Amino acid sequence: MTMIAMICDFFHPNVGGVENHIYMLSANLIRRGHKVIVITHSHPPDRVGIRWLLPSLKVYYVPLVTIASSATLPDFLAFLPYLRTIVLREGIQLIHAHASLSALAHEGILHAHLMGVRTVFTDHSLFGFDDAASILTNKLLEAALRNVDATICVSHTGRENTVLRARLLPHSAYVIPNALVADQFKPGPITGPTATVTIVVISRLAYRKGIDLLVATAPRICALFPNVRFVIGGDGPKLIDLLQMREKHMLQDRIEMLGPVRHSDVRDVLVRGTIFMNTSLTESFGIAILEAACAGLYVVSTRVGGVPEILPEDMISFANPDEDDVVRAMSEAIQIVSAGKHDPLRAHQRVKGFYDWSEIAERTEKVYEAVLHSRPPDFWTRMNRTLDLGRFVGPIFAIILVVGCLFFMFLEWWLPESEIDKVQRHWDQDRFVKLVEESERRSAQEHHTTLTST
Amino acid sequence: MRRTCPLLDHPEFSILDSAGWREYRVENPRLVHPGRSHVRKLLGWFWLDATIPLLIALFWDSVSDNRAAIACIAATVLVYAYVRCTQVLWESVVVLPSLGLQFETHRGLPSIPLTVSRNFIPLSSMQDFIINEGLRGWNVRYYLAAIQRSRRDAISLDVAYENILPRFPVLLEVYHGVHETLLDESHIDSRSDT
Repeated sequence: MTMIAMICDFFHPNVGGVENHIYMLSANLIRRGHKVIVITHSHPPDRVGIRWLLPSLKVYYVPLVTIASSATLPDFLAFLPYLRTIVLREGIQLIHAHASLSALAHEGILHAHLMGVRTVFTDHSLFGFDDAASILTNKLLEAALRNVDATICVSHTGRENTVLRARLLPHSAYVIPNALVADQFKPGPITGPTATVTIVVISRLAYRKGIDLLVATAPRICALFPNVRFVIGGDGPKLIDLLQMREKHMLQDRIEMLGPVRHSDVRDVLVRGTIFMNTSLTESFGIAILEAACAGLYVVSTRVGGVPEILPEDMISFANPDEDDVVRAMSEAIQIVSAGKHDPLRAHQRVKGFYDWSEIAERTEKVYEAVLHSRPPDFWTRMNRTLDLGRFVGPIFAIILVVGCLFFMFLEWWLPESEIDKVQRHWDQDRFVKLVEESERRSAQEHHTTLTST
Repeated sequence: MRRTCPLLDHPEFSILDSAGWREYRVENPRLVHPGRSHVRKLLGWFWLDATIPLLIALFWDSVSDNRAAIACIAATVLVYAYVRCTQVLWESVVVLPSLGLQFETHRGLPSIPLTVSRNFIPLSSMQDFIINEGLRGWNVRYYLAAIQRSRRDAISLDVAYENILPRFPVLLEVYHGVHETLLDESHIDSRSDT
């Protein structure tokens, strides 16, 4: 039974793939008997401090300033005091950090050794190598992962990408995919063969998700197949392009725009259609595709990133990320669906068996066990590995390491361990179950006495 | 009136029992030194105050003609006297059965209480009495809070022992005591009516 801290900038109340992954993984680890907390940054005005989520997941919202899209500034020392207090009071044994764009996660990994805590990192996205932002983030990632104990990636393509970006030893990177809760995505009731074929698109309307490709191909598909309708849900900077395309080609009756869709409503939107279209330019796993396949839709997607790994060939049609090939793949899909060769219920049953959160938690637990049983590197090895990073980056991060140690010494004087309120009582699931049974018994008794007295 | 110290590790915590009420008192731990003689106690908080006239005497000659300097010195002395006279001596949570809770803060010079500030929470508007954790600077502390719901459904939190913030074992004692006397009693009354 380990005490685990999940550290990431991206957590609820924001909604997204990484947030959902952290929450479901924590819930399943708690079910397996571990104790999990989550550390993330605060959301002004009043989401600061300590909150609890079901099922007994404690979340620390630390007051650090965010710069862009919920990511904090990578200053390597501002988080250390909070991290030290939280680790010492909860008795954390392992830090599991998520997301390469999260500065909190990097800091958690860099400073964990000061308190004797082991580290695991999960990378959720693919990045390029040639643009300025990628070069910078890759270098920061390499520095953070130089001394991490284990890395987990969500697909084999993701693993190759992370190993190349961060120059890891390939055998230290594991592949554990995402999963979904299949019961939340049941197919709709079976209707007879209808004339119209509805294509559903739900995604964040950003450049990475290939909205330009959608804008280029949607009018062509509408022209080629008069019985096809589009349902597009989601919001983002590219919404305006879609609306302009709709105006230009007079497709207001063929393309329906739903605006932002809440995660609880996604299934209802999905079952309105028979085909799901995904035109992402880069996708490390593609959980949206999986959710659509689970809801019984046939999937058309671009062959990028980790998408070829997630579904069998007969449930998905691939296209290269250019217009003509997407139109070709879509025609193929429309033919298959119109001929009735795709069975939604059978698809749902198959996807249900592929991915399961409890299995993911079991595999993650094995990674934790391997990490906890290995010996931590000593400070000299750590310093040497940091200096090996490069001619300029090496000394910079060695300085950050040493300043981190000095800051830690200062904190040991400023806030000694005796002054920290240690957590003595954690959520006790057995006691909760007993209290529920007791209160049910008591209310049943009262009900019985009122019945007999009247 | 009976006074007990139930926790051995925390001698600053004591319970005072009387006919109509029960007080959970937490004294300022800096002023509680068990086993120290009275003379040493007096000397302990007196020595810093004694250096003030000494310093003034040393520097008076050099600044006696400068009005601004005299005003500065007078201001500093007044501020220092105010700070020393408003030290928190003890804080308590007074439980008045079937009436409510009262949070008190007693300030003054050590062994000469000068001011009291009280906050009463009626039982009718009190939702719950909880132990919560909160961020305080770089630290995370446990604190006791009474949740009040006003008539317009506005929720407010009142923190007990706001200045001293004792440790968890003390808070647990007070929590159990308040729940047994105030909150469970109202629950017991409603059950016996049916």
